[in-house]
Amino acid sequence: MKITDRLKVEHGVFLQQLKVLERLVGEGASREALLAVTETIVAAEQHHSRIEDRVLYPALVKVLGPQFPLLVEIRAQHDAVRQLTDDVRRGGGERALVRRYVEALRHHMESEIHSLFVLAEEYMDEDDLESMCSWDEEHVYAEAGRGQVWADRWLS
Amino acid sequence: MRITDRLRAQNDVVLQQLEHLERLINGGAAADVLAAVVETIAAAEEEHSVNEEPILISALGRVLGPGYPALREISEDHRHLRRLRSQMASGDCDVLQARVFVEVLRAHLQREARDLFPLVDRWVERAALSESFDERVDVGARD
Repeated sequence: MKITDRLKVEHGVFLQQLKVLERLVGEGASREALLAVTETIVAAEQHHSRIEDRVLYPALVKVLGPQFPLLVEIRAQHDAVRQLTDDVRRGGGERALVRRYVEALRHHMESEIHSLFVLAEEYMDEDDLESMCSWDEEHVYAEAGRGQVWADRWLS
Repeated sequence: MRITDRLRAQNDVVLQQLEHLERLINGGAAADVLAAVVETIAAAEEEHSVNEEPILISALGRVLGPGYPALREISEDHRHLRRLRSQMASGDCDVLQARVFVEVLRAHLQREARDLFPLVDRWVERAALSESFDERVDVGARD
Protein backbone atom coordinates (compact mmCIF):
# COMPACT_ATOMS: atom_id res chain seq x y z
CA MET A 1 0.00 0.00 0.00
CA LYS A 2 1.34 3.41 -0.93
CA ILE A 3 1.48 6.09 1.74
CA THR A 4 -0.77 8.25 -0.42
CA ASP A 5 -3.40 5.49 -0.41
CA ARG A 6 -3.21 5.19 3.36
CA LEU A 7 -3.55 8.96 3.81
CA LYS A 8 -6.49 9.07 1.36
CA VAL A 9 -8.32 6.35 3.29
CA GLU A 10 -7.77 8.22 6.54
CA HIS A 11 -9.06 11.40 4.91
CA GLY A 12 -12.22 9.50 3.98
CA VAL A 13 -12.84 8.70 7.65
CA PHE A 14 -12.19 12.27 8.80
CA LEU A 15 -14.37 13.79 6.06
CA GLN A 16 -17.24 11.61 7.15
CA GLN A 17 -16.75 12.51 10.80
CA LEU A 18 -16.69 16.21 9.89
CA LYS A 19 -20.22 15.72 8.52
CA VAL A 20 -21.26 14.34 11.93
CA LEU A 21 -19.65 17.30 13.69
CA GLU A 22 -21.40 19.71 11.32
CA ARG A 23 -24.73 17.98 11.98
CA LEU A 24 -24.18 18.23 15.75
CA VAL A 25 -23.51 21.98 15.41
CA GLY A 26 -26.77 22.33 13.46
CA GLU A 27 -28.72 20.29 16.00
CA GLY A 28 -27.60 22.51 18.86
CA ALA A 29 -25.33 20.06 20.67
CA SER A 30 -23.67 21.43 23.80
CA ARG A 31 -20.30 23.19 23.48
CA GLU A 32 -18.75 20.46 25.61
CA ALA A 33 -19.99 17.84 23.15
CA LEU A 34 -18.71 19.84 20.16
CA LEU A 35 -15.32 20.25 21.79
CA ALA A 36 -15.14 16.52 22.62
CA VAL A 37 -16.03 15.52 19.04
CA THR A 38 -13.47 17.97 17.66
CA GLU A 39 -10.87 16.44 19.98
CA THR A 40 -11.90 12.96 18.82
CA ILE A 41 -11.11 13.90 15.24
CA VAL A 42 -7.94 15.72 16.28
CA ALA A 43 -6.74 12.67 18.26
CA ALA A 44 -6.32 10.70 15.05
CA GLU A 45 -5.76 13.60 12.66
CA GLN A 46 -2.66 14.78 14.52
CA HIS A 47 -0.99 11.41 14.09
CA HIS A 48 -1.95 11.50 10.42
CA SER A 49 -0.52 15.03 9.98
CA ARG A 50 2.70 14.02 11.70
CA ILE A 51 3.19 11.30 9.09
CA GLU A 52 2.61 13.83 6.35
CA ASP A 53 4.88 16.44 7.94
CA ARG A 54 7.70 14.05 8.83
CA VAL A 55 7.69 11.72 5.85
CA LEU A 56 5.73 12.68 2.74
CA TYR A 57 6.09 16.45 2.80
CA PRO A 58 9.91 16.56 3.29
CA ALA A 59 10.33 13.94 0.57
CA LEU A 60 8.33 16.15 -1.80
CA VAL A 61 10.34 19.22 -0.78
CA LYS A 62 13.45 17.29 -1.71
CA VAL A 63 12.07 16.66 -5.19
CA LEU A 64 10.24 19.93 -5.89
CA GLY A 65 11.98 22.47 -3.67
CA PRO A 66 10.60 24.23 -0.58
CA GLN A 67 9.07 27.11 -2.53
CA PHE A 68 6.97 24.97 -4.86
CA PRO A 69 3.61 26.82 -4.70
CA LEU A 70 1.43 23.84 -3.77
CA LEU A 71 3.80 22.85 -0.95
CA VAL A 72 3.77 26.40 0.39
CA GLU A 73 -0.03 26.39 0.27
CA ILE A 74 -0.35 23.01 2.01
CA ARG A 75 2.06 24.15 4.74
CA ALA A 76 -0.09 27.25 5.27
CA GLN A 77 -3.21 25.07 5.45
CA HIS A 78 -1.60 22.84 8.09
CA ASP A 79 -0.75 25.92 10.15
CA ALA A 80 -4.28 27.26 9.75
CA VAL A 81 -5.86 23.99 10.89
CA ARG A 82 -3.53 23.85 13.91
CA GLN A 83 -4.42 27.44 14.79
CA LEU A 84 -8.14 26.73 14.50
CA THR A 85 -7.77 23.63 16.67
CA ASP A 86 -6.23 25.83 19.36
CA ASP A 87 -9.01 28.40 18.87
CA VAL A 88 -11.72 25.75 19.33
CA ARG A 89 -10.00 24.61 22.53
CA ARG A 90 -9.64 28.14 23.86
CA GLY A 91 -13.24 28.90 22.91
CA GLY A 92 -14.47 25.78 24.73
CA GLY A 93 -16.26 24.41 21.65
CA GLU A 94 -17.82 27.71 20.57
CA ARG A 95 -20.12 27.00 17.62
CA ALA A 96 -18.73 29.50 15.09
CA LEU A 97 -15.16 28.35 15.74
CA VAL A 98 -16.14 24.70 15.33
CA ARG A 99 -17.77 25.58 11.98
CA ARG A 100 -14.57 27.30 10.86
CA TYR A 101 -12.52 24.29 11.95
CA VAL A 102 -14.79 21.97 9.92
CA GLU A 103 -14.49 24.17 6.82
CA ALA A 104 -10.70 24.54 7.12
CA LEU A 105 -10.01 20.84 7.68
CA ARG A 106 -12.38 19.80 4.89
CA HIS A 107 -10.79 22.25 2.46
CA HIS A 108 -7.31 21.08 3.45
CA MET A 109 -8.13 17.40 2.99
CA GLU A 110 -9.78 17.95 -0.37
CA SER A 111 -6.70 19.95 -1.49
CA GLU A 112 -4.43 17.11 -0.51
CA ILE A 113 -6.58 14.45 -2.16
CA HIS A 114 -6.88 16.34 -5.42
CA SER A 115 -3.48 18.04 -5.57
CA LEU A 116 -0.76 16.92 -3.16
CA PHE A 117 -1.25 13.17 -3.43
CA VAL A 118 -1.59 13.41 -7.20
CA LEU A 119 1.70 15.30 -7.29
CA ALA A 120 3.38 12.75 -5.01
CA GLU A 121 2.25 9.87 -7.22
CA GLU A 122 3.47 11.70 -10.30
CA TYR A 123 6.92 12.67 -9.02
CA MET A 124 7.83 9.90 -6.58
CA ASP A 125 8.78 6.31 -7.15
CA GLU A 126 6.00 3.83 -6.36
CA ASP A 127 8.33 1.59 -4.32
CA ASP A 128 9.30 4.55 -2.14
CA LEU A 129 5.64 5.48 -1.60
CA GLU A 130 4.98 1.88 -0.53
CA SER A 131 7.98 1.72 1.79
CA MET A 132 6.88 4.92 3.50
CA CYS A 133 3.72 3.12 4.49
CA SER A 134 5.34 0.18 6.26
CA TRP A 135 3.42 -0.03 9.53
CA ASP A 136 5.61 -2.86 10.82
CA GLU A 137 8.87 -0.99 10.29
CA GLU A 138 7.46 2.25 11.64
CA HIS A 139 6.16 0.45 14.72
CA VAL A 140 9.50 -1.22 15.45
CA TYR A 141 11.35 2.09 15.17
CA ALA A 142 8.75 3.90 17.28
CA GLU A 143 8.84 1.28 20.04
CA ALA A 144 12.62 1.56 20.12
CA GLY A 145 12.26 5.31 20.64
CA ARG A 146 13.74 5.95 17.20
CA GLY A 147 10.70 7.20 15.29
CA GLN A 148 12.66 10.13 13.87
CA VAL A 149 15.27 7.74 12.49
CA TRP A 150 12.53 5.96 10.53
CA ALA A 151 11.27 9.30 9.17
CA ASP A 152 14.77 10.53 8.37
CA ARG A 153 15.38 7.56 6.07
CA TRP A 154 13.31 9.35 3.43
CA LEU A 155 15.32 12.53 3.66
CA SER A 156 18.86 11.31 3.21
CA MET B 1 -4.65 -0.92 -2.99
CA ARG B 2 -5.90 -4.13 -1.42
CA ILE B 3 -9.31 -3.92 0.19
CA THR B 4 -7.84 -5.23 3.45
CA ASP B 5 -5.24 -2.44 3.46
CA ARG B 6 -8.03 0.07 3.12
CA LEU B 7 -9.98 -1.49 5.98
CA ARG B 8 -6.89 -1.75 8.21
CA ALA B 9 -6.17 1.95 7.70
CA GLN B 10 -9.75 2.82 8.65
CA ASN B 11 -9.52 0.60 11.72
CA ASP B 12 -6.30 2.29 12.85
CA VAL B 13 -8.05 5.66 12.92
CA VAL B 14 -10.96 4.25 14.91
CA LEU B 15 -8.64 2.53 17.42
CA GLN B 16 -6.90 5.83 18.17
CA GLN B 17 -10.27 7.50 18.66
CA LEU B 18 -11.46 4.75 21.02
CA GLU B 19 -8.53 5.59 23.30
CA HIS B 20 -9.76 9.18 23.35
CA LEU B 21 -13.31 8.04 24.18
CA GLU B 22 -11.95 5.87 26.98
CA ARG B 23 -10.13 8.88 28.44
CA LEU B 24 -13.40 10.86 28.37
CA ILE B 25 -15.23 8.03 30.15
CA ASN B 26 -12.55 7.75 32.81
CA GLY B 27 -12.53 11.53 33.19
CA GLY B 28 -16.24 11.57 34.04
CA ALA B 29 -17.56 13.24 30.85
CA ALA B 30 -21.29 14.00 30.72
CA ALA B 31 -23.71 11.64 28.98
CA ASP B 32 -24.38 14.00 26.04
CA VAL B 33 -20.64 14.33 25.44
CA LEU B 34 -20.17 10.56 25.42
CA ALA B 35 -23.16 10.12 23.11
CA ALA B 36 -21.76 12.66 20.61
CA VAL B 37 -18.35 11.01 20.55
CA VAL B 38 -19.83 7.52 20.24
CA GLU B 39 -21.96 8.75 17.31
CA THR B 40 -18.87 10.22 15.60
CA ILE B 41 -16.89 6.99 15.91
CA ALA B 42 -19.88 4.76 15.15
CA ALA B 43 -20.67 6.68 11.95
CA ALA B 44 -17.24 5.85 10.57
CA GLU B 45 -17.44 2.24 11.72
CA GLU B 46 -20.89 1.74 10.21
CA GLU B 47 -19.81 3.11 6.84
CA HIS B 48 -16.94 0.62 6.98
CA SER B 49 -19.18 -2.32 7.90
CA VAL B 50 -21.91 -1.40 5.40
CA ASN B 51 -19.31 -1.86 2.67
CA GLU B 52 -17.79 -4.90 4.33
CA GLU B 53 -20.95 -6.99 4.81
CA PRO B 54 -22.30 -7.27 1.26
CA ILE B 55 -18.88 -7.62 -0.36
CA LEU B 56 -16.33 -9.28 1.91
CA ILE B 57 -18.58 -11.38 4.11
CA SER B 58 -20.71 -12.58 1.23
CA ALA B 59 -17.67 -13.33 -0.95
CA LEU B 60 -16.10 -15.34 1.85
CA GLY B 61 -19.44 -17.00 2.60
CA ARG B 62 -19.48 -18.35 -0.94
CA VAL B 63 -16.04 -19.90 -0.41
CA LEU B 64 -16.17 -21.00 3.24
CA GLY B 65 -19.91 -21.36 3.77
CA PRO B 66 -22.15 -18.75 5.42
CA GLY B 67 -21.99 -20.56 8.76
CA TYR B 68 -18.22 -20.31 9.03
CA PRO B 69 -17.60 -19.24 12.68
CA ALA B 70 -15.42 -16.19 12.02
CA LEU B 71 -17.93 -14.80 9.52
CA ARG B 72 -20.85 -15.37 11.89
CA GLU B 73 -19.00 -13.60 14.69
CA ILE B 74 -18.12 -10.59 12.55
CA SER B 75 -21.73 -10.21 11.38
CA GLU B 76 -22.97 -10.53 14.96
CA ASP B 77 -20.50 -7.79 16.03
CA HIS B 78 -21.88 -5.52 13.31
CA ARG B 79 -25.45 -6.07 14.50
CA HIS B 80 -24.45 -5.53 18.13
CA LEU B 81 -22.64 -2.27 17.28
CA ARG B 82 -25.63 -1.01 15.27
CA ARG B 83 -27.94 -1.73 18.22
CA LEU B 84 -25.62 0.09 20.63
CA ARG B 85 -25.36 3.10 18.31
CA SER B 86 -29.11 3.25 17.93
CA GLN B 87 -29.72 3.01 21.70
CA MET B 88 -27.21 5.73 22.48
CA ALA B 89 -28.44 8.02 19.71
CA SER B 90 -31.96 7.78 21.12
CA GLY B 91 -30.80 9.27 24.42
CA ASP B 92 -30.09 6.06 26.27
CA CYS B 93 -26.41 6.76 26.83
CA ASP B 94 -24.56 6.45 30.10
CA VAL B 95 -21.04 5.58 31.17
CA LEU B 96 -21.79 1.88 31.21
CA GLN B 97 -23.17 1.90 27.65
CA ALA B 98 -20.18 3.89 26.42
CA ARG B 99 -17.81 1.40 28.04
CA VAL B 100 -19.63 -1.50 26.39
CA PHE B 101 -19.35 0.29 23.05
CA VAL B 102 -15.57 0.70 23.49
CA GLU B 103 -15.12 -2.95 24.48
CA VAL B 104 -17.29 -4.38 21.72
CA LEU B 105 -15.80 -2.21 18.99
CA ARG B 106 -12.20 -2.79 20.08
CA ALA B 107 -12.75 -6.56 20.24
CA HIS B 108 -14.42 -6.41 16.83
CA LEU B 109 -11.50 -4.57 15.23
CA GLN B 110 -9.08 -7.08 16.73
CA ARG B 111 -11.22 -9.93 15.41
CA GLU B 112 -11.17 -8.42 11.94
CA ALA B 113 -7.38 -8.06 12.00
CA ARG B 114 -6.86 -11.56 13.38
CA ASP B 115 -9.57 -13.58 11.62
CA LEU B 116 -11.25 -11.76 8.75
CA PHE B 117 -8.52 -9.95 6.85
CA PRO B 118 -6.20 -12.99 6.58
CA LEU B 119 -9.15 -14.99 5.20
CA VAL B 120 -9.89 -12.30 2.65
CA ASP B 121 -6.24 -12.04 1.60
CA ARG B 122 -6.11 -15.79 1.21
CA TRP B 123 -9.43 -16.66 -0.39
CA VAL B 124 -10.91 -13.74 -2.23
CA GLU B 125 -9.79 -12.83 -5.68
CA ARG B 126 -8.19 -9.44 -5.41
CA ALA B 127 -9.10 -7.82 -8.69
CA ALA B 128 -12.81 -8.58 -8.58
CA LEU B 129 -13.07 -7.53 -4.98
CA SER B 130 -11.25 -4.23 -5.41
CA GLU B 131 -13.44 -3.38 -8.37
CA SER B 132 -16.73 -4.07 -6.64
CA PHE B 133 -15.62 -2.28 -3.47
CA ASP B 134 -14.42 0.79 -5.36
CA GLU B 135 -17.68 0.95 -7.30
CA ARG B 136 -19.69 0.79 -4.13
CA VAL B 137 -17.59 3.41 -2.36
CA ASP B 138 -17.76 5.70 -5.39
CA VAL B 139 -21.55 5.43 -5.46
CA GLY B 140 -21.61 6.18 -1.72
CA ALA B 141 -19.40 9.23 -2.22
CA ARG B 142 -21.72 10.57 -4.93
CA ASP B 143 -24.69 10.15 -2.58
